Amino acid sequence: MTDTPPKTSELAAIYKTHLKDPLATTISQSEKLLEAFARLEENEKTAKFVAMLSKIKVDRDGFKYKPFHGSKNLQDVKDVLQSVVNAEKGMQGLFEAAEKTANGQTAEITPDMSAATLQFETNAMLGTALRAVHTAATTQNPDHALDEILVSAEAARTSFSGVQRAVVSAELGQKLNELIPEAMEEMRGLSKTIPTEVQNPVATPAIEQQQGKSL
Amino acid sequence: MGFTAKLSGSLGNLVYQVKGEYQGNAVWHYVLVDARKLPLFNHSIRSGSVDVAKYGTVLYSGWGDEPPENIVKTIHEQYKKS
Repeated sequence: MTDTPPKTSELAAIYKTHLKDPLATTISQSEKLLEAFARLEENEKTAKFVAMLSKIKVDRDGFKYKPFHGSKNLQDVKDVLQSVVNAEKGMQGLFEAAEKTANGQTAEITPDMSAATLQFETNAMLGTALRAVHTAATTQNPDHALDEILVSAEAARTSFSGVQRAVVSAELGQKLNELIPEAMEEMRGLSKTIPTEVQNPVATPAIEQQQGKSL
Repeated sequence: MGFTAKLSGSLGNLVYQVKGEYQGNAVWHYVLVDARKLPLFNHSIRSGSVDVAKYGTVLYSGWGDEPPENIVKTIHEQYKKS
C-alpha cells in the first residue's frame, strides 16, 4: 500500500484492465482497486469516479455480483469489488483444496470457499457443475458420482479459466468423490441434519407430481 | 401383492414432496402426511412456512432444488397407487 492516494485516472486504468480480462487478473486488479479505494477520501474526485463506475454495468457471465449500474455510493462499489475478490479467492482455494486432497493431504474448507460456491452457483455452467457434483454426492453412487464429477470438472474448467490445471484427471475425480460428500456440505455451509422447517414451501403429491398438481 | 405393499400403495396419496428454502438454501422433503392433519398441512403450506415434521413422517430430505433420481424412484416404487 502506498502513502500517496492514487489519482482517479490511475483507478480508472486499473478498472478498465480489470474489465478487459477479469478472469485472469481479477484478484490482483480488484485488490489494487480496493486498496486504492481504501486510500481515498470522500471528495469530488471520488464522487466523479463513482459516478463513472455507476454507468458501467458489469456483466460477468451471470455471476451473482451486484452490478455497478445504479451504485449510489463508494461503499456499494467497494462491496462489489470485495465480493469479486472473495469469490475468486474462494474458488481458487476450493480447487487448491481439491488438489491437496488429490495428493492425499488434508484440505481445509474455509468460509470464503463456502461463499464462493454459493456465488458461483448462479453462473450457468459452473452452477450446473456444482449442482451435478452436489447431486452426485447426495446419491453416493461411486460410478455415478465419478461420472458426474468429471463432467462437472470439465464444465468448471471451461467456465473458470483460472482452474484449468486442477480438475481434469480421473484420479482427481476419484479423490473428489471421496472429498465431496462432507466437503460439499461444509462448502455450502449446510448442516448434515436437514431442518424440517421450510420457508416458501410448495407441496406436490409425490405420486401425482408428474401431473403437476400442487397445493 | 403383499399387505405392506397394499398399505404403502394406499398411503400414496398422503405422500407429499415439499420444496422450499431454509435460511436461503433450497431444501426438499418427502413427507407422509398424517391423514388427520392434512387440512392443517395444506393451510400451513399456503401460509408461507411449514415445519413438515409436525404433520407426519419425514421420509427423505435433502438440500438442493430437486431430490435425486434414486429417491424419486424409491418413493414411486414404494408408494405408487395399486
